[in-house]
Amino acid sequence: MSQMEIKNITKKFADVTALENISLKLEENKIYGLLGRNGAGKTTLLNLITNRIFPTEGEILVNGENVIENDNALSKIYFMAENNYYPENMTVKKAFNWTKEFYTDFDSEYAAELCEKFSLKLNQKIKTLSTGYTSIFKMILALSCNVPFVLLDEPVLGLDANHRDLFYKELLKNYSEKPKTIIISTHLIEEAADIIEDVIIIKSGKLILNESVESVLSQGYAITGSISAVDGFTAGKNILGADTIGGIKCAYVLGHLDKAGIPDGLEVTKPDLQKLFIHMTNR
Amino acid sequence: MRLKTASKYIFSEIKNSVLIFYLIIVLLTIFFSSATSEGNSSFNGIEMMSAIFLFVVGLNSFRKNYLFLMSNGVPRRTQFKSFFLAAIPVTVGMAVIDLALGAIFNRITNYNTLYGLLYQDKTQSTGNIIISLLWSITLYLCAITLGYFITLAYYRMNKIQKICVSIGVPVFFTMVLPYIIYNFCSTTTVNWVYNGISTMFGVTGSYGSISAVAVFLVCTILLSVLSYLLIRKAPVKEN
Repeated sequence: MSQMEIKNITKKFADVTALENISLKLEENKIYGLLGRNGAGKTTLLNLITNRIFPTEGEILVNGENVIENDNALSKIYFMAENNYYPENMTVKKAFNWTKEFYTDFDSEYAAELCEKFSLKLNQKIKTLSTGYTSIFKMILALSCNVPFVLLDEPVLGLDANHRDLFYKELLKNYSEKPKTIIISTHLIEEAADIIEDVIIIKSGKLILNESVESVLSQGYAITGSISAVDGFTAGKNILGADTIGGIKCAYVLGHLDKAGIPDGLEVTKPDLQKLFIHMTNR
Repeated sequence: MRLKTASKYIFSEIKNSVLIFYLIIVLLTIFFSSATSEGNSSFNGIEMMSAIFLFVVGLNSFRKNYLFLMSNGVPRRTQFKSFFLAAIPVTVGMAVIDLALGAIFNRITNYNTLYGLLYQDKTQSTGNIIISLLWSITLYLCAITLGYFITLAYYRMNKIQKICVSIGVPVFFTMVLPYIIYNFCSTTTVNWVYNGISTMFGVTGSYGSISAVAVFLVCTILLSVLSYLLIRKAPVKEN
């Protein structure tokens, strides 16, 4: 049983408060989406979890053990950071070999298999990798480590659409075969929405939401139909946004839906997580 | 377990540089011994070259390793210990190699060890091989720790502090200190300081090279304590 508890974490950089009194419980074998606008404090939180920086107040516990300078607790977490901290002259294969030395459950065969799928050469030096391939390299390390907690900060940075699609598929495959707690910090909410179970939203250093995606999506709905019918139905309602293509309009509405009152010709679907996110973080 | 792996990693990073260093030393010795005629030239003290080399190794031993090891979840305390676990065998190995090379060079060219040059008078009475080895080991350990401490101190400093230290230290040693000595210190005081340093390092006085061993050891311990205080709360910096 692996559990992570973030208790009353505050982080200040000089007189700037990056995170303020954040408390969270991350359950075992769940995929979390860590969302927030630029500078909200997502990376700061991930850096604190992995003890790359120190909190001003509060503590982070992994199975009851504080992560600060704790070999045992830190060995249960792998953090794929946005920056690359591997030596530039190291080859991909050497990086895998060293990672296996530090994370003994690292699956070298699986890593090699992923390299083949993503066309990443094992003998290539890290400094020669493009932005996309650097992300692929770090993502392969993260997926192959087999630790209870995997933190991914902007995992699809620089990846083309094909590689992003492959990444999400591989992530789900990996999760179903070897369940673990995964935290994905991303700005590509629409893409990640299908794989995350719980959503954590940070706004200006404060935790504003920690709920299941299902529960967040139940706070609103999307209604599609002819422009006039949609406009008529949504009049007076709290509209988050709308998309119009030709004569068809799709409006995203926040609030409870009375299904009995839906006129013919209008279709109700789940709302867009991204639209809800924009609404929540713009307030 | 991770301590062993981390020190193995740091050792592997130093290993290749050491091999290249000795390759250059051997090639230079062969070149000089064949280029110069017998009797009119001498080749002295590779210990100083080794010490300078290890100082540079120390300077390069923090940032890159720190970021890599942090990426692999190795705590700072473990990293600090692993640096010394890797540095000790390197310094011992280099001291042994230097001693062996000294013996070989002595046969092929006019070579003197730095230890031999400094403690010539005492070599016969106290300077046996073990003391000479101990002297080299502690000197090397002090050099690599000094490099490690400087790079760590720079890592922790902000931009303004870095500029102040980078300008302030050379200015102090090249301008302020000579000015103070020239204007405010009598010849007696300068001689007293000079003799004190010479005695401390065993060049003069009755203690001999063992005194220098103690000084190097104390310096190493002090520098490592300061390094520990610096690494203890070192954050991962983006650039």
